[in-house]
Amino acid sequence: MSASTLRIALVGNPNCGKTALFNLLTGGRQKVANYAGVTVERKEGRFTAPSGRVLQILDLPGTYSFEANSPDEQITRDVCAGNYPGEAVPDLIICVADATNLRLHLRFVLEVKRLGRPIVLALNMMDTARRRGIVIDVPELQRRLGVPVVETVAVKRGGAKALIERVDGEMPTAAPAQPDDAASRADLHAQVREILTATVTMPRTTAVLDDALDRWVLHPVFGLMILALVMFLVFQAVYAAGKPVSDLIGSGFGWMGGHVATLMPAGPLQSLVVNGLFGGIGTVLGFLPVILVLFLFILTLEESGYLPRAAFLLDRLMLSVGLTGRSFIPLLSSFACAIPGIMGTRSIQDPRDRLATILIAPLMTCSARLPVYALLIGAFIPIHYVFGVFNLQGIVLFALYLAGILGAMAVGWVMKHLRRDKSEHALLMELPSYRMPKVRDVAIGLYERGAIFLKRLTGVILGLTVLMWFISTFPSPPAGATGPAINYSFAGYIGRGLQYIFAPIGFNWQISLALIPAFAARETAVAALATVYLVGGEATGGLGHALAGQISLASALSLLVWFAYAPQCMSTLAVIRRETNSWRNVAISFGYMFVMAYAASFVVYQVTRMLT
Amino acid sequence: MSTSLLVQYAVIGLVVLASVLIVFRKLAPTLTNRWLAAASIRYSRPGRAAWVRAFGQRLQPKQATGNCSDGCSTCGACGTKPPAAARAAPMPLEFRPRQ
Repeated sequence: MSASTLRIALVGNPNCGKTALFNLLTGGRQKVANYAGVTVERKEGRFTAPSGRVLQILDLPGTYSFEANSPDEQITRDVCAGNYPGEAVPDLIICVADATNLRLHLRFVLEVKRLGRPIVLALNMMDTARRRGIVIDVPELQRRLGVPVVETVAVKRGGAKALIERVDGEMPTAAPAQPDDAASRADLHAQVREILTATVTMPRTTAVLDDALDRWVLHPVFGLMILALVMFLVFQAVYAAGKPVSDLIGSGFGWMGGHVATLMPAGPLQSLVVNGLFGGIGTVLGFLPVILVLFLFILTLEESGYLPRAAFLLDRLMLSVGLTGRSFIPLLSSFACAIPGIMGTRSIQDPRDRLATILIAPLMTCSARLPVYALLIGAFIPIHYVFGVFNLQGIVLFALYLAGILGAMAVGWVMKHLRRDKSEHALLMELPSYRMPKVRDVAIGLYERGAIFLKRLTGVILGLTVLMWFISTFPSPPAGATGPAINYSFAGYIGRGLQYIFAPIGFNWQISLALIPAFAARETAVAALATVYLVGGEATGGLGHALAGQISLASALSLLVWFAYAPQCMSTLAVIRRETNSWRNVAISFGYMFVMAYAASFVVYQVTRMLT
Repeated sequence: MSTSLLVQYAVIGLVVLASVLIVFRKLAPTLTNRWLAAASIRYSRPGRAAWVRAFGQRLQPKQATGNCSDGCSTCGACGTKPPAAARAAPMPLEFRPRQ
């Protein structure tokens, strides 16, 4: 690192805009959302200031105090105090504070000041503060705090200009370090009150719009109804808007595969390209629009500030099953992928609550399961409108997500009764102001999701599909063989071996085989099925058509239920191992989910068979 | 076996080999990186042909950018790579009796 590199740490209360500021300064694309606890790790970026000096920026998890309770807060405390392993003490600390809520945020600023390091206070969200009529006497605030104060708007281009100028200029003088004890901490509150009285004029402590919306959204009855309606409409829209485009892409790849087949000589390479690449990968790629529509809604809700309200509404329900409202945000993140959800549990202070959340997070339906759901629903659930408005396929999709949530609650309830410590922990969570989602931010989020999906598709999913094609094609059938060639392949033997385990839940050998690559990446189950059926010559009219002809409704429903509860992917297990430092928890997680998925699929398969 | 078929099998062999590597990197990233690093050192030794050394350089495993460290690549929310000392000390769950 060059001598002129300045190490800067961004600290502040949760949801004050640290990561937005980090992205603005460094050009990074770290996840931002309008709720507390998005950043649970230390993130690092660089940018070159106008003077040519390189600034190394550390984005740290939000904390209300240096009396850290949760693992994410400990990172911030340790980095600022110089106790983080392998990390030098920052040269400068930028303390980010929400200008609309200085009553809460200034206390931490004073706490940071006591460290005796050079600090700059960034009054963020100044545009919102002005809109709400909040007047801050910045020079007076600067004088009273004894640290440089600059205004920032982290979500606007050029919103950190004043901050960059200040940081690039002369290094602020550090206040002398002060002891940190209970008496002095209590004194901080008095200091905050005194400073606010002298420097801040607020017409109201809360925004008028927030109060008006919260009267309905946080209502114990109407609030829950609104939440249920929002979720229901999201899944209706996912199916109504995403599926037609998905079908179009699927058909396009089928046409392209057929066209390429005519250009290549018949042989194994043609089979690989047509059955493996166009058939397998093309089928999975077709589900990208469905995933993007789902994320459009998730990103919009994240930006709006509605999600912490949902956590508040569900807190009582979560407590009844042994969880806390604080589990809500990590569980919600698990709808994208269980891994950020499990990482997000670092914001949960109580280790028992954290472990319970880690163990049930994989039951939330991750986006990788969506292609499997969409494929089977499209093949087996008729396009039918309930009450003339609601799409039956969308209702089934909603029911599958609900099944995951109810399964998680059931597991939480069992864990609550198994553990010795049955104490409950009250939820204390800051409700952010509502915010109109910015089209640009949502578009960037969607772009990121699309890029992640395509990266997976052209990486591990492509690799697994090629291997699936290989084991479905080789070895060639022996001389005099009478059955289909695929029956004599490695895939045929492995699939039929696995069928002994999965036949009671209605899976044929092809489905049993597809469960193996799904363990690496769930979407691969779709590509694997497409490849196996294409190599077997049974999917000429598309995978959905082949499945509808090859397996019964009972098997299809059983497979849907299997994917709702099935053991998570390997990456998730690896993260559980890392976060809990225990192979036992990995075994518990895998074991209970396998038993749960198998039992649920068995019941669904047998009952459906009896009824149909 | 015709030349055309031979070429087809050769291409398929390479594609399958690359796929095995991709999948193995996903399922066992640490082990694969160790193997790749060892192979890279072996092929990059002085005295080897230039193209072998270039191949060895290409085998050098890339530094992971995320500190989820397990290669899920699904959320894009991973942080930047922490210092080595911090990576050696994760934050495991610790259960202590309540006061």
